[in-house]
Amino acid sequence: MSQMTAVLEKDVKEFLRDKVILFFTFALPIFFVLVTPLMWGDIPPEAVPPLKGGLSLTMITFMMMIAGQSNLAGSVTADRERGLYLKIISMPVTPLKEAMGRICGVVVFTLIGAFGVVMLGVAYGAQYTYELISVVESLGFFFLIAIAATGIGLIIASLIKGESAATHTGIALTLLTAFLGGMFVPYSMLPPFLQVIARIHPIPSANASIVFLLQGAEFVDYDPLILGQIGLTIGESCALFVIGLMLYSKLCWRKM
Amino acid sequence: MMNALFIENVSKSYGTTPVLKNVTLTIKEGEFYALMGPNGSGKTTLVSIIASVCSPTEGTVTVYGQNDAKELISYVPQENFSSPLLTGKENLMYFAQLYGFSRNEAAALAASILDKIRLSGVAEAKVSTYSGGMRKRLEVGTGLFPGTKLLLLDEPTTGLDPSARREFLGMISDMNDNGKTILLITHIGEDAELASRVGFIDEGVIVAEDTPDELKKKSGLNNVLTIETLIMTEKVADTLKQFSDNEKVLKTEKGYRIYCEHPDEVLPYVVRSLDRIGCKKTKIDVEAPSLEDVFFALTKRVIR
Repeated sequence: MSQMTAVLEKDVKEFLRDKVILFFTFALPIFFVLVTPLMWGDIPPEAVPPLKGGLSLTMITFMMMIAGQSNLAGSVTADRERGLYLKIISMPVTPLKEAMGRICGVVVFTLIGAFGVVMLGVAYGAQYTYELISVVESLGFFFLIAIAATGIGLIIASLIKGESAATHTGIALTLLTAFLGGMFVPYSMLPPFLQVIARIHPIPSANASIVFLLQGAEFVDYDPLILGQIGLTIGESCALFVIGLMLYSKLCWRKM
Repeated sequence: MMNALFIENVSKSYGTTPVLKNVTLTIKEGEFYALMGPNGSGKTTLVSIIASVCSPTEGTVTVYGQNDAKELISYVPQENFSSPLLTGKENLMYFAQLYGFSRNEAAALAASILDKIRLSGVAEAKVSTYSGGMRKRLEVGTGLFPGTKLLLLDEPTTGLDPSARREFLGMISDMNDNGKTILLITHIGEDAELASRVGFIDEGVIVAEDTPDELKKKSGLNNVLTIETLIMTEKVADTLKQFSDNEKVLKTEKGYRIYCEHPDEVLPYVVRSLDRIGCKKTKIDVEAPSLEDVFFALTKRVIR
């Protein structure tokens, strides 16, 4: 347990002390929360608060994607570049415990940011209408987003050499997923092939489920809670996580 | 005395290229052993195998009688592995917790180790503000956790300025005096002089090992004539070779080292010959042989 908490603490501190990471993970979603409502044109005033609520929830997903896909990938590659793995391979540490510590670090870091986004959203007029059971169900979908994003982050870290390349790949993938997966544009406005991506990709799908549960069906335009859709989201998230862990253990912890 | 490290017939090949050839080596508990060799001689591969970072193609490594003894080893690779965004104390706490110590134990250990490695004054400063020498001392501090008995240091003084190097080597010597077994990988003879025993590795084979003084005696080298010149050409080297025994002339960064039985006697002739070919000298001296000289005498290869 002390090994996992050591890695968690190290990663969270590193994330919080890196200005670039802070900008992309915290400032960018906050910027979207503040600026996006200014671009909403003919929306009835009574619809704005719940829309702002949905937007801030989406930004928590976005934050988790940046933390998992970009920050985690960058952190692993930076550690690899400076020889940390040579040191820890020689120590009585297992790749699984170390990786779990890193993943918990991403979750804790995102929670810090999520708290800020929700508070800012409330201050900015966001409205959340929910029941306790919906919150619990939503946490399950946030968990799926966390494991899918960290799985992708570990895949990027294992396959791409260089901190800068890994970080930027993670950011690019996050932006692509968010735009093509309908996280910034209403599902109904997406062309049919992007609607397919929005439903197939586990992160936009889980995000739609959260908005559906916490804000209502009218904010999603399709039902992401049908059994087949949930099964696909769970299966893909777990698969990404397992593939990420396997690649990470095999490639980053590889003996010479 | 117990064997701290026993390496038996270890070989390592990358593809068809052999890097280590049947290396057998024993280091006793409490010993300070320096392994010297030029780049590509296999010394880093050997220490990586001991640290479990690299698997041998053949052979076995036992540490204090155990095949898997990660908790007894502290390996300090060449790279600066400490996190620049964390403080010195946070870095040590991180590694202490990875060794299995609780958070409170790790905090107490980090404070005591920082004191021992003379970094307690900068314990709360980020490692990015440390000098190269301070950072290396911090990383070697990971070898001071209770339970780690064998410290593996891979070229730790590379890149350190002379004063940082001396301070660092003093710390290593103190650690050895306090019972830590040390294996130092180096290509610097002065660093290896501190060791109780030195091994020379060349092309994957340990070619000699003994105390530094015995190695010098065995090499048969007397004092060495050192010459620093403004230019270094084949013509200068050829001129100097005629004054050495068996044409043993070592090219160094600033000039040449000439191995001969009576350097004082040949000195005037060397000066005259260099004057004749127009080679300007900046310094001429007669020195005791170094371990690099001994290595060169034994292998005819330059160690750095």
